[in-house]
Amino acid sequence: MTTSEEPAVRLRGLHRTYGHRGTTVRALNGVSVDFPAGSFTAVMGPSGSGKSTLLHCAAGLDRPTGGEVHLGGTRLDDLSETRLTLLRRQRIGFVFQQFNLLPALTAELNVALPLMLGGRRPKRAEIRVALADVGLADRLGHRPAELSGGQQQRVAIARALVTRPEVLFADEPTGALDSATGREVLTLLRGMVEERRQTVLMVTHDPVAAAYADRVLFLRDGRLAGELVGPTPQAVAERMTGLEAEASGAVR
Amino acid sequence: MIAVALRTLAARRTSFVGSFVALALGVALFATAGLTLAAVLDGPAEPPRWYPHSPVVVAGPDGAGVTAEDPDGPPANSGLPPGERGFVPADAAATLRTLPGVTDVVVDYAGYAAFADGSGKVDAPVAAGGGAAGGTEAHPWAASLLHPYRMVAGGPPVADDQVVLTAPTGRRPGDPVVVATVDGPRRFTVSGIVETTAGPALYVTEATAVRLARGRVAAVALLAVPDTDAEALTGRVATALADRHPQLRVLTGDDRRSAEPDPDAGLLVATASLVGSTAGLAGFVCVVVVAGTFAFTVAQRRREFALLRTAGATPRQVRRLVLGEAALVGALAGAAGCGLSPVLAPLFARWLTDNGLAPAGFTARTAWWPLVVAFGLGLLVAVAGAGTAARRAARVRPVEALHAATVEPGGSGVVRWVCGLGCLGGVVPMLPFLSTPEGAAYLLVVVMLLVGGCALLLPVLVRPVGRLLTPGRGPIAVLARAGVRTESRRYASTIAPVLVTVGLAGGALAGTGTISAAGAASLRDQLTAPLLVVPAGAARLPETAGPAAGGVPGVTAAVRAKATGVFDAGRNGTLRQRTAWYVDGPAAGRALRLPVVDGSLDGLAGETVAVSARLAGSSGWTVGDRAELWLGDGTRASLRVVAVLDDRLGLPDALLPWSLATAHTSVPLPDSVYLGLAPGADPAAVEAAVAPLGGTVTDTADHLAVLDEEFDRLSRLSLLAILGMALVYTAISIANTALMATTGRVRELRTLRLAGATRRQILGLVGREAVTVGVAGAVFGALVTGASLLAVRVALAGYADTVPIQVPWSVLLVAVASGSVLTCAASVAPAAVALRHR
Ligand SMILES: Nc1ncnc2c1ncn2[C@@H]1O[C@H](COP(=O)(O)OP(=O)(O)OP(=O)(O)O)[C@@H](O)[C@H]1O
Ligand SMILES: [Mg+2]
Repeated sequence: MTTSEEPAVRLRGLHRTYGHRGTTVRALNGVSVDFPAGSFTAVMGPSGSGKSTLLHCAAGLDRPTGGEVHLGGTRLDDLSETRLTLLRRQRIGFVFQQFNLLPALTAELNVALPLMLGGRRPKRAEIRVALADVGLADRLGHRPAELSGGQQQRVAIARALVTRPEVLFADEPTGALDSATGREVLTLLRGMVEERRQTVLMVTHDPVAAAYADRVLFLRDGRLAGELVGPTPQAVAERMTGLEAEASGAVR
Repeated sequence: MIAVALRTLAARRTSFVGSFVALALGVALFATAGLTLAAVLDGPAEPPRWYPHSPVVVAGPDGAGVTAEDPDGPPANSGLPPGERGFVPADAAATLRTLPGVTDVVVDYAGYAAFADGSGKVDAPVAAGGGAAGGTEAHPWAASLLHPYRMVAGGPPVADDQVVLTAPTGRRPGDPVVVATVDGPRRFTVSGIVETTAGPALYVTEATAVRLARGRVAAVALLAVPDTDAEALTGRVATALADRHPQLRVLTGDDRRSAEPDPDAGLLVATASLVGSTAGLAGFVCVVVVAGTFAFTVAQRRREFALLRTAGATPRQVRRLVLGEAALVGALAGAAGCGLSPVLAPLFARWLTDNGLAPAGFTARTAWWPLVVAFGLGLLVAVAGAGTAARRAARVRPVEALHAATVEPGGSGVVRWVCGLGCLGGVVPMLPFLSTPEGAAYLLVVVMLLVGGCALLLPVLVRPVGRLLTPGRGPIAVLARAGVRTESRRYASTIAPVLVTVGLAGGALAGTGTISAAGAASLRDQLTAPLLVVPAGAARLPETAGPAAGGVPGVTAAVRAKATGVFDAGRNGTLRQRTAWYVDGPAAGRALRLPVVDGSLDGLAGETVAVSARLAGSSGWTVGDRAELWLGDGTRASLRVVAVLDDRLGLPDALLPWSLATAHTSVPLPDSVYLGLAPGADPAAVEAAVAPLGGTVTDTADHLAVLDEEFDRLSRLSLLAILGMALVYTAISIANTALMATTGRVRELRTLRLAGATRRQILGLVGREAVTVGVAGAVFGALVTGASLLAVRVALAGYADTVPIQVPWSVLLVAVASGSVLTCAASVAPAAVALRHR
């Protein structure tokens, strides 16, 4: 998988084990993969296969116990906590399944937060544009509790994108949404990829959502278990059924 | 970042108000005690009453250490013992008289003279004005030059048995009066009455004044040409005295007041140590409660910090946010607390005077330094408490933090263990001090160490104890048990104020009660005298009461005793005050049980001393050695050690022969005379012998019972003064933290409601948890009480035959009950309100 252009994210031999006192869980067990710039990749796999862990490690939210993480030309896994945070703030966007907005702050402030944390006084127009991009121009002053799930997720996407990150990571961004709202969010992400060459890495359980991506990676028991380029919902669903059968077979 | 902080502040009203209240009240408490202490230490800055006409007054030393032989003497850890004063050598007056600018000097004598009637009872008008019982003094008529007066009847004393009284008095010139003096009751004739602002006194002829004062000069007052520069004169006087009398004080301005006898001086010393304890304890509870509260509010916000971290905040930014907020709240609340204290301090001072714990007229003034100290302490503790918690919160990685927000990390810091065990272990070096006269003050330190250590270790201790306290199989019990496990920190935070309240109340009351009971029991063991002679009225017994009683047939010993203090040079080069008694030496063993371990009391006469094993040990003295001691008037004495006594509660560290009292104590009169009786001796005969001297015979047990009762009353009041406000504060903080804890988990409770729990069940759960908190606090408080009692018992074991353990059950019960009720009310009420809205 070598390309002439430097990949946006490069993972090499990634390991992550959890646990202490005897019970160790190998959430990631030697994952090596590249994500080219401007690509939209979906990561799929049975529950507990290590998708979230992969995303967290790749995004610098968590540290792998072994292996390397490269973002652009920068190696993440050996940075100090503070350097890592600064890098995340500038070059990475992350969208969580549970949105993770600060409940006390308005939509506008939530979006402005990464800029403010960077010591910048964000311009109002800038934030407005970011929220308008996700279709929430009229919800600036609302707190998360006053927004619907889909709206909250769109605020979270606006927040993740406001710093113009190199890579946007999304962990089941549609998991908490109904299918119509989910589709809006996915269309939004697809649009970012098409219009801005935004690199997107998304974990999902939904074959329909995965079909929005250019490529689908399959994970099982912390290892790569295949990929699908140019996915369709049917093809993805078939592969998943196969994987889940193997996984449950392995467990039982 | 500030904007973020301000926005989130609104959403955290309860925790903001909670920490504000905790800090403001804590600072107010500490500053109140501090202001009161400042007022005690500054003393009443009042102009002199006796010496206003003399610009410069030379008085004896007000502390031990600096002596004529040793001008660079060691500093003492306290002033002279209450009721004692230093004297001016007779030759100093001659030196002063010749100084330029000095027109005359008045050599002022101040001999003990209580104006008494025949039965020894002090006449009401003089006693009322004279302050302490029988504390009036006889001065030479020349001293009337030193202050304004008006002769309202008669004239000055000319004969040695004449006396001038101060108005108001019922006597007229020519009336006979009886005055209690060092020589016993003496008959005088009133020669005149003066009206003066100088306070009550008796003016007698020079010769009489000299005799009544045993020739010792209280002060030399200089009279100068009008418009003399007092400062310059002070300088000349100090220079003139520097060589031969470096110990003397050269006083001018309001300082001259300190040369006048202050009947309240002893009480003021007691007030100072009392208020000092109050301030120490106030500072302690302020630190514990504020640090706990601030750490708790930060711990409650872990999820918020995790969200900030995932949004790109660095650990440093999170810490800075927390510290900034803590500093802001700390400054605001500290200012509020400082604003409150000038209102509270006078009320506290008033309560002290009303209950006789401070001299009448004592008031708290507003001084700046206690406010600065209290403000600084509050700010520091708030920032430190929030800071340590913030470090923990900011250190975790963002994803972990999001997980950790729901289930708290279990690991407990090494620092916590070290500090907690250090506090508990710190009790051991305190033990030897519990048997000293300041034992009660050191006991407070012991209790504070125990409470502090327990509070530090609470997060670790909570899990095992919490499991025991949440038995049962019902859903509520299961939830409560899970709560103790996963949220041990919330439990620790809510239990801590209950522990502090119960532990302080229980430990301090049980400990001091036991110490004083042991002291009283031990004193009874030591006083073998079945009877003793005490003053019949307010006037003191004359020295002659001893021989008079001793001369009665059947009386085998009549031992005069007077309590005072001496100083010895400690290892660190300062003088340490020790308890001492002047006694009639050789006979003492026949009226007191004095456990001599080496030497003999037979030689306790002249320049000798008997010392306790503790004093002998710390100074390295054995029988036959010369003991360097500084006596009550501040002078140094080299006394031969004739005996070493076993350490006993109730017995002093030094026994001095009675002969030294005459030279070194300002009122060389016995407190009481202990009698040894042969079988068949007639108490009525003793009574008849001492009655003319103003004494009366009393049963030792009765006398001690009266003393104990008074002592217990005072110590109860003192404990109330020390603990009262602090306990009110910790009680408030019980409710405060419980309220904050419940408000902080409304979301969790609503989730439970969604999961199918009824409102009743949820309130039941909250109530159940509150009871767990109350009971756990009570258990830990009881452990502190038990440990305090153990400490007292161990510490006193070698000093008393019995240590009767006193447990203040009623107080413990009240503390536990109010702690539980407060926790329950403050937990259930906000939950009920929150669940009603949805
Ligand atoms: N903090 C943790 N401590 C211990 N084990 C963990 C932790 N986080 C994840 N794991 C374990 O690591 C494995 C992978 O978890 P991960 O969250 O990556 O799975 P996932 O593929 O995202 O699953 P899902 O689709 O359910 O979200 C799982 O077996 C999980 O139990
Ligand atoms: Mg996941």
